[in-house]
Amino acid sequence: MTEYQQFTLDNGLKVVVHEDHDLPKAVVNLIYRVGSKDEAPERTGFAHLFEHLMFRGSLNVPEYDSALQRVGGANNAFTSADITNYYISLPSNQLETAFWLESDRMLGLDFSEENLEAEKSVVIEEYKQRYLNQPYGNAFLELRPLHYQVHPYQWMPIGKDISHIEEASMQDVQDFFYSFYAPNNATLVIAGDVSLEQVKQLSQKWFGEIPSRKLGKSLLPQEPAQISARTKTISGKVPFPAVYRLYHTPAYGSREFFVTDLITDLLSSGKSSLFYQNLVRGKELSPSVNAYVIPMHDPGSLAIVGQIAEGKSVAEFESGLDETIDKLFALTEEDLDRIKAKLEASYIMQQTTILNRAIGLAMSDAVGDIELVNKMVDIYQSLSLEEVKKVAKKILAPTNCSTLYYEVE
Amino acid sequence: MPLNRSQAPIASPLKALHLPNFELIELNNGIPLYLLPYGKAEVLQLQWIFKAGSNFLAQAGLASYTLRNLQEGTQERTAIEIAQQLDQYGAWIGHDVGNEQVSIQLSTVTQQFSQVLDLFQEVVCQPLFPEAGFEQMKAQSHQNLITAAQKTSFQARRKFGHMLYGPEHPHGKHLGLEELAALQLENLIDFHKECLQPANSVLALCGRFDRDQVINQLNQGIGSLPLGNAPHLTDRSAMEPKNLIDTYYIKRPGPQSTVRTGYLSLGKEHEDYVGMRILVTLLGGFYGSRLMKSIREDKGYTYGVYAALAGRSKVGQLVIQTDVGNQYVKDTVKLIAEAMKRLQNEAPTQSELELVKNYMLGQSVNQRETAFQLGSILRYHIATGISFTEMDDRFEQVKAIEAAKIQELAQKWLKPEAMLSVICGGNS
Repeated sequence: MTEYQQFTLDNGLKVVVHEDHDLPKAVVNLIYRVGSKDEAPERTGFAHLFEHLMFRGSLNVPEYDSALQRVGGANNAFTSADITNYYISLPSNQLETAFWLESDRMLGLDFSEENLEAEKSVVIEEYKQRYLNQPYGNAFLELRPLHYQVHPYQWMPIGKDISHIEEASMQDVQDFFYSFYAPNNATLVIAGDVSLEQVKQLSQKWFGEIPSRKLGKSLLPQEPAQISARTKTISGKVPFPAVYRLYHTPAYGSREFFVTDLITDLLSSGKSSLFYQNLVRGKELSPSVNAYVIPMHDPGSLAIVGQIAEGKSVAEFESGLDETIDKLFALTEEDLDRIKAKLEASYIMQQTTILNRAIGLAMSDAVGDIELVNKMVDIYQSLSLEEVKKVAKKILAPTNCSTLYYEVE
Repeated sequence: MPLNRSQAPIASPLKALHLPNFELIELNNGIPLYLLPYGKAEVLQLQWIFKAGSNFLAQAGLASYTLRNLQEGTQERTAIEIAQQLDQYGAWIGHDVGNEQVSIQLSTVTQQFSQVLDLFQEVVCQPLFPEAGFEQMKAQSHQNLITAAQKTSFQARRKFGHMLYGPEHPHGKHLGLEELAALQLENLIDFHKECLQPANSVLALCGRFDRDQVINQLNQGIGSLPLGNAPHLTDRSAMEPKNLIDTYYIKRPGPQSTVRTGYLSLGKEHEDYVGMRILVTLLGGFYGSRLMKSIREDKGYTYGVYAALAGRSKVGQLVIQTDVGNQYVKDTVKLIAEAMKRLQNEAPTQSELELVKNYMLGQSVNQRETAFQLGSILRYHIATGISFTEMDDRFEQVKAIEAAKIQELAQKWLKPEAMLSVICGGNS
């Protein structure tokens, strides 16, 4: 059970406090409800580029990182299709420094053209490192637009194309900031060796005077239901062929989303899973095949990714894969109970760090239901076998699937 | 009063942290048991540690392959039954191969510990090593190795280790395709029989548990085993540090190259070790390091660059690695050497040194947050003999180091002109 208290400042900034006094440590997690889905199709990769620029200097603080490191703190950030999340961990007696830094960069950014150019180059190298210089690295860059034909989830947070990043101007960057970086579009989670009173006082002091802003959110086009299977074939410098599938799923936070998540565990979590038993062992059709959900605020995806074993064909793999998926419908109550026990234990282990609890609170709040952090395990436990089979039948229907065939060049 | 935002809030001095005390007892048969109660979360980890790490082994991959095969089946249970039983109780069996020792770990929620303890013992003591599972695992590894070899970072790391230590040294040997093909089931069975003997082991329990109850349970199982004989193993890691100055190029298509460069350096036992940790952190150990500032922030050549001192007992290694656009390789190599020379030519400012020290001290709390992390610290103590008090003392040692000392260490230990480099990528 993650206990927390919350309050909201007049400017709309929501603040959540989770106390844990075991260690002299605090986590400050600031989540902005902006992600790559908020980008224009001709300006993709912006939310992520922006996350990088947030470390390049704000109105009153030229160097964010060093100011934090000087008091023993460390930080990082990540950008998804829906949110951008910044987190700090630092000794709890230095908490105010985190308030100073986070509030200043919410107030406004201040960096030079030179900084912008250097950071664009860093992001381009990140693009190469993660997507172009890895075997199969570009698979999802290619598959997303097939799977999402109208929704902006069709591009990855890194962006559609390197040129979008290369062309980003100072004006673009400023516009993006004032459209989305605002107290009324953020939630601040403070966790660890802190007190509610202290957080109230510091929040008012540092964030209270930041004006709320008019947000530039527009109504996103929703993806229509897919009615027939889609496929695409690409080739590249890879050692073996591989198959990538995406299925449309319910949005994060809904009951059906958790059913889907549990289904992916049944399929591929560990050595008792259906994939391991039937495809890695069993018919030996793949050395590595996984299923997982990609949680998103609008309807998201279930991914299945498998490399074809040497000497086996793609057709053999796919027919083995489909036979294995069908085994979901023959599962017993006992199989379901086992996976629930495993999910519950892994949740307990994951919650042992303050950072994970803080991020959990922020992510749940971002979908509008902060209590999800405490309901999640009960939801998993309450799922029935019938429900699992019903959702599996709906989600894993071939007509709901987009497949990318990755061939050896 | 209006808020002065250009002024940092007053920083408080960093407080030293102290590792909690552990207790060391013996089970009925003499196996040492470390007990370390830690944390609020109802989880725990039992580690069974054997003194048979890679330093003692002639064959690459032997230890890790043996440990992976433990869960392939026992006298009592098939692989699937083992996996299902672990799931049912929300437990995991993992392993770790270190230089000095190997360990097999049972991680579980406290409430279920007694349900899986017998299974854990069975997996470690009575594995069947079935032929079919072994062959399938090898086929799987074979393909995974071919895939990993497509990555420039993987190739650079392997070639570097191979050249730096020589192909016969435990740190220079890797499980490649040839070594994998040579690995036989008999080798695993022999290793298990010889090295995974209770006489050669210690147990370490960390997390939330009822002390008397756990001791009682352990005595009924592992504590009742015959000890067997401890093996006579030869440490193969001793070597004369030699200076290999050379650059190897591996050509691979792609937009980036991995640059890996470094040399053999001091080990953990050396008196300069703590100071060197600071120096290497300053050079490339965190976001605010010299190399990150120059190669990432100023030039934009890379998404990341790091420098690390691999602290082995006697001979360690200093390594710098980065993935950069092919067109930046030459300049990157130059900038790495320049950063090292600058540390030799001028002492860091007080301000910069304070920053890096505070960063290191402040972050030490993150390495000791969970029972599992404390378990790793305990394992480190068991492997190296470095006591918790000595680890705690490092806080004061780090605080005490002065800028002139950092420059002196840079002059003594940094060798920008005498490095071994491997460059793997599109422009090589």
